[in-house]
Amino acid sequence: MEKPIFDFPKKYFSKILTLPDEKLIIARRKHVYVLFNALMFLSFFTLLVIYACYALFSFLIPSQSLLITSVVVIIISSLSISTKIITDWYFHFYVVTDKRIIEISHAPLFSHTMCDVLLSQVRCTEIDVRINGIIHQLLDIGNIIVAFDRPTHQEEFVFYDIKDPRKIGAVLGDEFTSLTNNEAAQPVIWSGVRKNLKENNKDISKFRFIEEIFPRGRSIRLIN
Amino acid sequence: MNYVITLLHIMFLFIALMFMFFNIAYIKEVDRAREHLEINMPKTGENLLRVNAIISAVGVIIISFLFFF
Repeated sequence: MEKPIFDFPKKYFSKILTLPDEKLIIARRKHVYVLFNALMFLSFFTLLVIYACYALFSFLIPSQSLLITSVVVIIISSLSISTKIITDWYFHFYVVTDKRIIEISHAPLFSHTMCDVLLSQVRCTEIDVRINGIIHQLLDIGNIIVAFDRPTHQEEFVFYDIKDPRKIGAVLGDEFTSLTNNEAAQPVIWSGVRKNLKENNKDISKFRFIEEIFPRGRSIRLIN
Repeated sequence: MNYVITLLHIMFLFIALMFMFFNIAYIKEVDRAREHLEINMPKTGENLLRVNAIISAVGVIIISFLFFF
């Protein structure tokens, strides 16, 4: 497996890595390009509103003090909103350890979300890497979609706008493969299939058989 | 017309005050995030928040000055 991929020092995660012997594998934020888009839109909108205020307070309601006041308010509000956008980006990150996947999204004063998937409780069925668009291809930004097969329904965990999605997808694939090699995570099949598998020269080391888990002498009869 | 101008002045002053208090509360909340997550904002980030709060305070002073005098 490749070296751990961190955006920030490991000491930062002492309050996040709470499970015993938990090993940090990936810690990533969204790409900075996400900020660029939002800030560009905000600055464009700010200029537009300043122009509208200039037109309003020069011709419709002529007042120099109101013009200055409105421009000051627009600058204050756009600076505050841009600070919020940057801070929200800074406090939104994905952490992958050998035991779980965590998404932390903390928007100060607004929300705090912590999504935690325990890898021992789910089975990963699919890892998709999606890179859409020219700019995303050039900057190597993409989404990684991890599909889990839960007992009741299928669930997806998405890493949005991550840098190096191919590399991280490969690391995740390696990690999940090593997890499925654990005996507890191996699929359990009916013993009657063992004979067929052997006849067809299939590798049976990856399966556990029901009779190995519940030996005949000790099994419980559920039918009256 | 003067009535409308005064009303607009009060409205802008109120908005500027709101943003000033928002920025001050935001700095406090980012400090709390450090305790929850132990993710520190870099010095530039903290300074950005402080500069933002100072700019909004200066803005409030300018608007008040224009409104009262």
